[in-house]
Amino acid sequence: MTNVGGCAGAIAQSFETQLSGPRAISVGLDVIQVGEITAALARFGERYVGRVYTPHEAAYCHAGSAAVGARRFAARFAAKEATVKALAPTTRWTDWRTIEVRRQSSGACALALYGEAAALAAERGIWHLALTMSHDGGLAVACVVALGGPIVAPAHPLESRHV
Amino acid sequence: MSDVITNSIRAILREHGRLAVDASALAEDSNLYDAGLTSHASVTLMLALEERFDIEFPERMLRRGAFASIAAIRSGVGELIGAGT
Repeated sequence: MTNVGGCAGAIAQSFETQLSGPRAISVGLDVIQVGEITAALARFGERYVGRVYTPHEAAYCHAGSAAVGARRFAARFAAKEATVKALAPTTRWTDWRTIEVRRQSSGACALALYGEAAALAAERGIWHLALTMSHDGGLAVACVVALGGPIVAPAHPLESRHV
Repeated sequence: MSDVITNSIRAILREHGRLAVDASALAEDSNLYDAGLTSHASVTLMLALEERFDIEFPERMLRRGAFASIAAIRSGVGELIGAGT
């Protein structure tokens, strides 16, 4: 599969921090057909873009051809959905625009959270989100790994084996 | 009026829901996510509902449950139509 502009999240904090004790990790994965995004863009245009993507994301996705833009939007939607899965909200949806894929000057991409998504991550003790995205064959995929806080030893002895 | 809204919701579901089953045959309380409604399809479903009924779903209504069934959608649409009159 083709990596989207070499987009891959990096572990920002030191391994020393991670090794200071067992840490909670959660993973989110999503795949979407680029054709779904193409259809949504054709049908709803900027109303669709404005409800799902941030101005930063829209500017980058609109910078290329329509076909390239659809793939970029698709990868970003997959990233947002993968992030939601990693954050695991119980009842509410987060506003899609509170999860942003930030493309840095190096070409690498990272996630930025705002508002409710940021609050949810803080509630979960998540201190870093690693992202990777890819697309090929009409599909876009994204995987998010969320690194959380120290794991509290469970009361059940069997469960503790898995910590 | 309620039947008109329900029929419109079913038509929009057929067009935008990408469901694995025929929206015409769904019970009003059937779970749409179980029927194949994806997150992205729920976005286009929401946009189509807004267009059809000239409403806008506010942030407070963007709960997963708001689009979980035809009955839930009808309740939300009804509330927003009522708020606009």
